[in-house]
Amino acid sequence: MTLKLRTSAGSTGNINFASSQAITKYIYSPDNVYMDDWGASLTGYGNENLKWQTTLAYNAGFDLGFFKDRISLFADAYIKRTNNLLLPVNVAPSTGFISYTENVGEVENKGLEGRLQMNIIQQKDWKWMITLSAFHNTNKIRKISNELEEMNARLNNSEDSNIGGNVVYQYDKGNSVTALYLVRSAGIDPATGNEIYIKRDGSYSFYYDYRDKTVVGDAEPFLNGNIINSLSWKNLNIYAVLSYRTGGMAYNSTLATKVDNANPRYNADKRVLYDRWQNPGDVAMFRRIDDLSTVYQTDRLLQKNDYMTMSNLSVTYLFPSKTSKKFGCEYLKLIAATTDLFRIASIKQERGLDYPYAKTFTFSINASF
Amino acid sequence: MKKLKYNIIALLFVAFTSCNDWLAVEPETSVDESKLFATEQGFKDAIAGVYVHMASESLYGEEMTFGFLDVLAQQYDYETMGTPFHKYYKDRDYDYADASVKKRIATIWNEMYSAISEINNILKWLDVNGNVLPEASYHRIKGECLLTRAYLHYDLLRLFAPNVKVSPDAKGIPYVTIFGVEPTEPLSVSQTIQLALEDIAEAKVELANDPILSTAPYQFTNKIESDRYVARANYYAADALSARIYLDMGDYPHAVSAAESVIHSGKFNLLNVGKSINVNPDSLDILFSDEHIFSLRNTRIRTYSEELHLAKRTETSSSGASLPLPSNISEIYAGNNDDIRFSTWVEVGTNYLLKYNREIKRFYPKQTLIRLSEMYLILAEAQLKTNNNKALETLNILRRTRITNPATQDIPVLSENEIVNEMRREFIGEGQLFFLFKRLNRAIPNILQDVAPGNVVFVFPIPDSEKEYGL
Repeated sequence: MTLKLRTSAGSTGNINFASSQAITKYIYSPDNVYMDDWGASLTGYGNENLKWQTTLAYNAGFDLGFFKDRISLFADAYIKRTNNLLLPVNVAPSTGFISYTENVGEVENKGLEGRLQMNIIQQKDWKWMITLSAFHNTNKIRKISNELEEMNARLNNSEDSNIGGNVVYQYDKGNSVTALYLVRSAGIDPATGNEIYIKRDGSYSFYYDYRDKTVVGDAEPFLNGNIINSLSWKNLNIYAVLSYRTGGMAYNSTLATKVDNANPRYNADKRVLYDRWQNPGDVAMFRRIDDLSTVYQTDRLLQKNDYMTMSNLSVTYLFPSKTSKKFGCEYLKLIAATTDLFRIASIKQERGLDYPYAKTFTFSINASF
Repeated sequence: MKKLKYNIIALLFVAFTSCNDWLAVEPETSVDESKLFATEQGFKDAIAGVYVHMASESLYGEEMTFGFLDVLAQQYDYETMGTPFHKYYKDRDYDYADASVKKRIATIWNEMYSAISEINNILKWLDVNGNVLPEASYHRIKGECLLTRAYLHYDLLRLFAPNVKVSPDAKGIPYVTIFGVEPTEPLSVSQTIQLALEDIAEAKVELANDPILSTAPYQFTNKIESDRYVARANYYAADALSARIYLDMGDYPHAVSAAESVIHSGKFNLLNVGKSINVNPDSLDILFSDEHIFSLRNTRIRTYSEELHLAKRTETSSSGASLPLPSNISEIYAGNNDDIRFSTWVEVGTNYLLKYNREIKRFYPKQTLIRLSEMYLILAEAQLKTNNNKALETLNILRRTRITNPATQDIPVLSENEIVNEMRREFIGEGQLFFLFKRLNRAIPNILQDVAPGNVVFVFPIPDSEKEYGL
């Protein structure tokens, strides 16, 4: 058995600070020739008052090896404090910009990381290795700037930020940056088909009031990580990555926009007809079918966002050097790979309607001469 | 010797592996504003960037002209758009609350204001560093900026605020004159118009030595040469825009004088059928170039039109079906086959709009913002409203350049209806008709059922992302 202990503390500037966040820039694109000139387009608003984001990080961990390092465990715990946190702050689009970068406050991240690596089979022809990893992170806002406070107030006031499929993030001191703020719901009233809102004091109401919004969950998972299997026989290798996350929440935008807020007169999801409230006494998940008013976001459609996905599966064959020399190569490798082969998720949501996600199958040949 | 060889191999290796770093380097095409506005060419490139922006697909290259706005003016076959797969499925019914329509409207708002911010930054730098420019360039660029700023704000106002004659005191839109992230408070509709008129007046002063004043763009045989004067904001575009604004306000005397100033300038010429239309097909002047007062160039306009009108598929095409003009298009042209506009713009049998998708080498793909014919139509309408007996002749002058058969050229009696009908023949594919119905508060003709006039149709809702800021 071997044991190593590690600890570190340090301060870093942020490497992601792009100069365009602090300087207004223009870009020339080959398509933009206009008469004798070459049109230059504005790329965004550069905030001249931007300060460097600094991170103070403390880290402690250990590496543990068993059976001549056939099994290794790596574990770390960290605390990171980020000052002058850089975040895009939304602005009125009539300024010509959607957002710009501002120093908005101080955030603390605390987390644990663990990795268990097991060489289960280690023979001449056969090799099998499993790696399990898990990450846990929580964050807390320690300080927020005036700009961010104004943005919060605006978002809170605006009726429009309480409808639709996306929950707008709010930043409050002491809470997480990914906290979900929603009005709590007691479900659909079987007598009327209207939603019953729970007010801050716990009483019930049919009237939505954004001031009843409270933290009902966090989008950040409690735990996420990968399970990696690597199995080799001679020159043939199978490599599979399963990714998982658990303990986070998400607002089901599909149910909100396509079922609860859909107009049954148009082409709609069949749940609009079957699962929405129709007659007194119906115990329904979705509100009255003839109600065409806008749906306010509540925790009724907040769901656990756990999933496991086969994010990568590949089969590789490396030709022995004798064979590859026959083809005139130093090195020759065949790879068949796929991404996102399957996905098991607790939340049933449409994916890839606005932005396509890719399930890809690729076959490639690597050769060097 | 052997060692040298290995060194070379090692060097090559380093050279190849550092590829990734090359990609991480910021492209040389990106430039700091202080560097851009350090030279005259930089200022010229910046204003060119504004025109490129305006000519893009989401603004005047498509949506603000033959795309979205012409759909709203019922300029296309209503039934063809009646499938959920058509990109204008909800737009054709003015469903401004629908997510896809909302997005289209928000994009117009955002992109128009983005172009305005580009203008405001040029104006800011003209103050900071204008001395790098020769006197003439300085004034011309400043004039172009002010005028274009007025043009963009006025179109935003026409889209997002009620008709000025109906509700002058209603809330207008932010008239943004500063570059930055601080929001500008919106003023009333009539106050917003005043700001636009002030910008136009100042632009005219700056453009007092505009090169267009010492030439006549229509006289060039090579239309690329004409574009140096008319494919950008210019002295007469200022008068033309004020004519348009005064007519909307119901200020007819001012509308008349502004329109006449352009008509009598001698810089533009109504269509000459012999020279422009009865020619070899590869030099057909389908956009009536001699009439352009302010136009935008964009080589991709042809592609946008092919995708929308002819359904030529490309990677980004989402329309999927060809989109013809309404089936009664022949009636709109009073069944007159001698009307040049009908015979050159509309394909026989299919009713496809040909204005923007024909490949004609002699002319660069363009979209017109203001044409001379609009000045005649503004003049005729203003004269009609003030009981000036010249109104009929004004309209007939225009018609004689459009209709080849003398027997059907002149109309005997002028009425608002006649002017509306003429505009419907004249402005197909230019986005002007939506504003016409709004100005006159008239029903929008549709074969199935006319669309009743009203703010639910004529006024776009302010995008949600703007409303958060209290607009």
